[in-house]
Amino acid sequence: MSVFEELKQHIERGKVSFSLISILFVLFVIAFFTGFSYLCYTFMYLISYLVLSASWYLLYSYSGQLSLGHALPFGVGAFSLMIFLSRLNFHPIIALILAPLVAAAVGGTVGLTTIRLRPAYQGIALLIASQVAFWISLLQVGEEGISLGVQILAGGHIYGIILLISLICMLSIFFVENSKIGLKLKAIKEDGLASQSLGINVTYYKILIFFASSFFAGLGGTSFALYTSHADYTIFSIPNSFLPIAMVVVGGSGELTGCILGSVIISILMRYLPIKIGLPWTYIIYGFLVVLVLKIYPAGLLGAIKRALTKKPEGG
Amino acid sequence: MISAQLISSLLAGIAYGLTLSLIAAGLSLIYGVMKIVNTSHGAFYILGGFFCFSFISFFHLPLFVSILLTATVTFVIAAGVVYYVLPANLRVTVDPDGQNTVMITFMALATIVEYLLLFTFGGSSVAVPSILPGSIEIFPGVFIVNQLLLVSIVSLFIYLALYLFLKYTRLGRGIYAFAQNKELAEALGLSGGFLACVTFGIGCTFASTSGALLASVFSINSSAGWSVLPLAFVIVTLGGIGNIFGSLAGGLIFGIVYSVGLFFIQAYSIVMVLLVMYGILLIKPTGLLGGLVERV
Amino acid sequence: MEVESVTKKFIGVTALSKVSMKIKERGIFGLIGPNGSGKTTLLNVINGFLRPEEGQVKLKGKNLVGLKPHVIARMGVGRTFQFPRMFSKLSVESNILVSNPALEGTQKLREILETFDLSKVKDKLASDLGYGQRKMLELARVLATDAQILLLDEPLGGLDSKGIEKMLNCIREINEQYNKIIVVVEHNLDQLFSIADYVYVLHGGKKVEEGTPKEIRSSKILHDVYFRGF
Repeated sequence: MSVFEELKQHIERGKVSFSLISILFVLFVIAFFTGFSYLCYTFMYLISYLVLSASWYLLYSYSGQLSLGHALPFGVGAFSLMIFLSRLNFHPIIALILAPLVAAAVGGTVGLTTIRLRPAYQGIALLIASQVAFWISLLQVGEEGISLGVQILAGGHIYGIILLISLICMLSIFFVENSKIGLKLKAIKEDGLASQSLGINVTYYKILIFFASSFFAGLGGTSFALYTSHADYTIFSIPNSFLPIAMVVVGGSGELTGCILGSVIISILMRYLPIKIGLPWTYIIYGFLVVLVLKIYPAGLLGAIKRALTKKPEGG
Repeated sequence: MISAQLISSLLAGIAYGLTLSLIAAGLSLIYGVMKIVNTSHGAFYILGGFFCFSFISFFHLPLFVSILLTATVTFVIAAGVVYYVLPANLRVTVDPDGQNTVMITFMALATIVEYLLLFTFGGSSVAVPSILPGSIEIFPGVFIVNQLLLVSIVSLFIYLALYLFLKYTRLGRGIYAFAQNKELAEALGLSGGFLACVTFGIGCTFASTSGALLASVFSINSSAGWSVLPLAFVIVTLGGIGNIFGSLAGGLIFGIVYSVGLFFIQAYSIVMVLLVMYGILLIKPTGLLGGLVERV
Repeated sequence: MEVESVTKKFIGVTALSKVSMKIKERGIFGLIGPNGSGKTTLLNVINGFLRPEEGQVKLKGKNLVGLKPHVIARMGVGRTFQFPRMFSKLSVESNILVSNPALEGTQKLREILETFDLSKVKDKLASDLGYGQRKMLELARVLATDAQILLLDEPLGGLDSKGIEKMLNCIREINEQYNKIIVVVEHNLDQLFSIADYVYVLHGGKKVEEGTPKEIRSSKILHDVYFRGF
C-alpha cells in the first residue's frame, strides 16, 4: 500500500478526531491574527492542556495504566525548559527539543518502575512520584520558581512554535491510534495474557507507551512554560494530575475525539469560570462533573452526542 | 552521637507515626474490602480537622465531644458516599476498569472537599486547641509535647478498639473474612455492598479522627490532604496491605525514619521518606510484613 | 516438538511429574485425562505461562523453557483457552488482525473468515458473538499467526452437537489444509478419538499411557483412570 493510501485509511478511520484537530488549529491561527491577546492566551492554555490530556488518554485508553500523577512529566517538561533557557542558556530550539525528552526520560523511567504493580498501586505510586517532584521543586527553587525575565522569543514566534509542537503531537497520537500499533495496544488493554499468546510483547509496549505518554505530557508542560515564561512548584500540584483525567472522563474516555471535546470545554471554562465564581468553585464543579459523568453517563459527552445523533427521527 | 534532642525528636516521631498508623489502618481496611486505594482518604483527614475545629469554635463543644461528633458525621458521609454515589456493581470490584473508575471518582470527591474547605475557610490553617498544653520532661533534656503524647495514646486505644471489633463482633469478623476471601464470604451470606459502605465509613472515620487529633498538635490547611495520602499509603505498604496491624509497625518505622531524617537533614526529610517508601513499594509490593496474600 | 520429563510443582501439589511426549510429524494429538490431571498445566508450560521445576520443552531442538510467552508464540506455538479470551471491544476482524496485521485486506484473511464461518459477522464486536462463534474466533485468531503448533484447550467445551461437528470439521480442515501439529486437550473422548492420530493419557500429573485411539480405547488403563480413579 502506498503511503498516500495508508494515510487515507488512517484519516478514514478517525475522521472525526482528524477534523476536530484541523478545525482547532485553523481557529488557533485565526485567533493569532485577530490580535486579541486574551484569546491567544486562552488558546495556548487550551493547547497545553489538550496535549496533556491526550497524553493521559494515550496511557489510559491504550494500555489501561492509570496515572494519578501525570503532573510529573508535565511539570518536568516545564521546568526543564526554564532551566535550559534561564540557567543554562541553551539555544531556544535546542531547549524546546530537549525539554520534552527529559520529561519522557523521567516519566518513562518512573512509569517503568510501576508496570508490575497492579492498577490501584500503580496509580498511587505515580501520585506519590508527582508529590515527590512537588516537594523537591519547592525546596530547590522556592515559591518563586524559575522565570524568564527576558523575552527570548517574539510573541508571534512563541505562538507559532506552540502551534507547530502541538500539531505534531496531536497528529502523532492520531496516527498511532489508527495504526497497527494502536490495535496491538488496544488488545493489550483488553487482555494482556491473550495478547502474549499471540506473540505481542506486552511489557515492551507498556513501557513504550509510558515513554510516549510522558513525552507528550512534557510537550504540554513545555508549551505551558513557554508562554508563561515561568515554572514553579505548583505545576506539580494535584489539580494538574486531576484536570487531564477530568477532561478525558467528561469528554468520553473511549476515543481521542472525546478527549479533545473534554479538554476544549474544560480549558475554556477554566479561563472564564474562576473569574466569575472563583477558583475553588470551578474545581468543585469539575469534581461534580466527573462524579456525575462516571456514575450516570460513563460514555461522557461524546457518548451523549453520539446517542443524540443516532436517535431515530420521531414519527413515521 | 545520641543527644537528648535526638531522642526527643525520636519520641515525637514515634508518637506522630502512631497517630498516622490510624490513617493507614483505615486505608488498609478499605483496600481489604473494596480492593481499591481510597484516593479521597486525605480529604477525609482534613475534613476531620476542619469539622473538629468548627465544632469547637462555633458550637463551643469540648474537645472529646467534638472528636466523637466528627467521627460520627464522617462515618455518615463516607457510608453515604458509597451508598449514593457508587453504583452497586462498583462497590467491590476486581475489574481494573471498575477499580480505576472508583479511584477517579474518589479523586474527584477529594477535589470537591478540598476546594469546598478552601472556599469556606480560606487558605489559612486551622488548629484545634490542645487540652494539655506544655510538654513533659521524661529524662533530663528529653521532652515530648503533652498533647502529642495524649494523641498518640488515644490512637493506640482506637487501634485496640479496632482489634476488638474485628475479632469479637460479628460485623468485624465479617469484614475480616470478606477481606480474606470474597467469594467464600459472599457464599456465606455477607453482602459486599453493605460491607463496603460500613468499611469505607470506618476507614474514613479513622482518617478524619486522626485529622481531628493531629489538628490539636499541629495546624491543618486544606492542601494537607494530598501530603497525607502518600504517607498513609507508604505506611500501609510498609506494614503489608491488608494487614491492619502491620500499619502500626509501618507507622512506627515511618515515625522513626522521619524524625531522624528531620533531625539531620531537615527540609528534605519528607522527600527522603517518600523515596524510601517508594523503593519498598517496588521491591515488595505486598509490604515488608507480608500480610494477606493478594489475589490477582 | 519434544516435551522432556517436565515436572511442575505448585505449593503443596505436584501438577506434573516427569511428563514426556515426542511429537515428530504433523497431525492431531490428543491429551486426555480426568480433571486435575495436569492437562492445562502442561499446555501452560509449553506455552511459557508457567515455568517447570524440571524438564525441557524442545522445539526443533531449541529449549523453550524460560522464554517469555510472546517469544514462544513468535516461534510458532499458538494457543486457545478453555474459556475463550476475546478482545471484546474489538471487531471480529480486528481480533484476527491483532495477531497478524499484515493480513489486512488479503485473500488469506478472507479464507480464514470463511473457514470459521465468520465472514458475515466480521465487523461485529467480539462481545456480541455467541459462545460457539467465540470459540471459532479464537481458533481463527491463532491460525492467523501462522503458528506451526496449535495447542487447543477443550475446543469442544460447552458446544452443542452442531457446534461440535463444526469445530471438529474445522480442526480436520486445519490439519489437512495447513499442515500443522495440533495438540488437543479434551474431555469428550469419543469425539476426540474420531479425529486424533495419537493420544496421550495423563493422570495425577503423570503420563500413564499413550497410543493410537484404537489402542487406547481398548486399553484397561483408560477405564481405570476415568472410572476407577486409578
